[in-house]
Amino acid sequence: MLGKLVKFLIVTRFSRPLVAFIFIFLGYSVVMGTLYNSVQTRSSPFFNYYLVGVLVFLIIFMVFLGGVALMKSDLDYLFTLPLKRGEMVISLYLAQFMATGVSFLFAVGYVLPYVSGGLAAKAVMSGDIALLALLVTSLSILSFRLGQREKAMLAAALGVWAVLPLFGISYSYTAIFTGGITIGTVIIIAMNIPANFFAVRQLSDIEIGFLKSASRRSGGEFRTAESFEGLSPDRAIYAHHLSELSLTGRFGIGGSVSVRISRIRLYYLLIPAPLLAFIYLYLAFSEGNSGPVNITVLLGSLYVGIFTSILFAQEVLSHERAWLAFLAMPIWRYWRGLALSKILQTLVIMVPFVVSDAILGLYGFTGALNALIFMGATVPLSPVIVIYFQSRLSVNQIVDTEIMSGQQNLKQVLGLAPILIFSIMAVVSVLSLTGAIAVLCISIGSVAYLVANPRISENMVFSLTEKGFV
Amino acid sequence: MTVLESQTVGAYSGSGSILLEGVRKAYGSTVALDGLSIEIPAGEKFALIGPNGAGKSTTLKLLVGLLRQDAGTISIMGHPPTSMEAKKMLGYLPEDASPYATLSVRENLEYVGALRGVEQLRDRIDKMLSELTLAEYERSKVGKLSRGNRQKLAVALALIHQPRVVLLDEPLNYLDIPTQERVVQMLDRLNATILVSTHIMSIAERLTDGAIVIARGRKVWSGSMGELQAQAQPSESIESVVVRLMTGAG
Ligand SMILES: Nc1ncnc2c1ncn2[C@@H]1O[C@H](COP(=O)(O)OP(=O)(O)O)[C@@H](O)[C@H]1O
Ligand SMILES: [Mg+2]
Repeated sequence: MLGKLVKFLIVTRFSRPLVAFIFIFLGYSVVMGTLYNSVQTRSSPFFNYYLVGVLVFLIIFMVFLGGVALMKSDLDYLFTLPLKRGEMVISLYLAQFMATGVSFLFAVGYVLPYVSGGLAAKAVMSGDIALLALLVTSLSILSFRLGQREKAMLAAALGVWAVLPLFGISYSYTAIFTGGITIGTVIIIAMNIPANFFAVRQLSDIEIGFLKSASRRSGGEFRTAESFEGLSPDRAIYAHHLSELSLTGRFGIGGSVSVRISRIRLYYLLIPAPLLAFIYLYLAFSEGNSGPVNITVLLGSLYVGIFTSILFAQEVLSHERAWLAFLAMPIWRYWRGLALSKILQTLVIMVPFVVSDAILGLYGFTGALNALIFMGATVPLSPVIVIYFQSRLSVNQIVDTEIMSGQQNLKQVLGLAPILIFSIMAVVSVLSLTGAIAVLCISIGSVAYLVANPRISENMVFSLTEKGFV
Repeated sequence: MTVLESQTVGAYSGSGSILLEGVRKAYGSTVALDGLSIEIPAGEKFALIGPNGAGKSTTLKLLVGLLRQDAGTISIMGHPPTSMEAKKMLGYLPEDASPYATLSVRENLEYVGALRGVEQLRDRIDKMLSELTLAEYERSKVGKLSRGNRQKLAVALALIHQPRVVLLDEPLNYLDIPTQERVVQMLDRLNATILVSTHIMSIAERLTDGAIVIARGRKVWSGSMGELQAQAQPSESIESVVVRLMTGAG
């Protein structure tokens, strides 16, 4: 019975190709990780930063967007069946693990080759990573019932805690990546016990939690008000897309997704951006200017670039309304306004990083000037390209606050392809000045082509409409 | 002048009407419109009637320029659908219309009004809000509105610029009877050329004077409501006449 239930829950939540993809990728990463022993152990902070970064990203992501891999039809059909509670909890946990924890296991393959010491050290590290995967899973379950603010606080606390080892304080769950394997392991185990205890408890009365979270309506009004009265058509577009960032919280991974939309004023982002830019500067200086490239500059540009372009491109189209925007004025004109506001918005946020890069450049850091070009010009242009790619590859319009999305499938994974291209562009840019200029020229050319050619935006709308967009 | 007359005369100028001629549109291998030709003279109100999947929504999306036909010509009062002239004239309400979820009710109206350059926007918005009894929700998030109120807002957004050509896709869905009545009156007062898609005859009868019946992407009948009624056998309902037309038995 348990086997059947697990199978049912997984098959209804994930398409078969996606499950196959996950297992093949996982298998590959584990095999590579265990076989790849001959590589010399590196003491470079590259992997420390990389792994801490991945972990912070996943934890914040799961806490914020987490939720239970539950579908509305489960409430109507599955839970009314006479199934054993225990089996239900185990199956739900496994489905959740598929949706969240597995993603962390991918890291195994990339970590193990770099673990110094013998088989024992590798075994401990593997165990730690498995435990972290469980932690990510249980956090995503726990965040299901938290309010927006509680989620933000939890995510912030876990995020700050995670970066402590980079500043020499090793009392953190990320210490396992920075040399403090014992203390890290102890903390991970200590975190797992309560997290999983509460997560399992929550799964055992999941119907109540589901109903509660569905009924806990966020306020019926936005906190801030916008006004477009008396604005010209173009200014209205800028006012709408420049001043505020719409954040979309999705609740429930997999099946029924309930979407909660909140808006933040853009200038709220003006606080964390300089802070992050300062941390970036600090880390770069503490690493020192040696070697062919400063790792902080490289990874900082990569992460900041990817994060910013995704943040500013995220769901811009999902929230757009073709029948309102594209009928009110020529399509190219609306698209141009949208593109320019996104460029400006991103540019403003990147200014502190540009300043940091300029300072590094004055101190003669290699790659700083390249990073400045990348962060100050290429990154601000990127949302336009990302939005265009999304329109052609994968975009779901958010028309309701309760949407019944389909299964998670491989195409959604393919939607991430532009990120890969963008990462390559980031690395090329930072490593060489010629690269940085070439990448910038390509970006300017692409954006100019996308914005200046009316046929492009018209075809974009035709293809969106064919995909069911209205 | 009815559609039939204009066709028998065979001389339309193309301007002053909504016109589709031999329009074909396929989604991949699904042919939605298969050589559809219709004409609606300026100032007239027509219903586009057909079963689910007949191609009604596709027709309207082509007319407003959100889709491009594979073959055939389309014009709105003599202008191509994507032209600025056509955009200024057109008011379009899609099926299951969804306003901006990231804006409140009033913000939606202000934004769309500003995009369209509507004069005296505030008065216009206040008037529409009160006419559609939405005033108490003006600050609400769209996501928090009931389905009926969301449809009211969508109607307001489609009509905010007092369009001369109005294309509505199943417009009375979700609306209660008093609101349906108000929307019908608003449309009457607009004095616009109207094409309403619906699969419900009673709505067609209330909103329009003429009907175009389509099935499987082709026109199967067109004429005035009176002519449609005249086709009925004694004691036959108008619905069954339409069914007869749609299934090709008449
Ligand atoms: N976005 C789309 N993608 C693929 N097929 C579509 C799409 N929209 C409509 N169709 C198909 O085109 C045909 C006509 O659909 P539609 O115009 O929506 O008809 P109606 O509005 O009369 O119900 C149907 O067979 C429908 O399945
Ligand atoms: Mg339809």
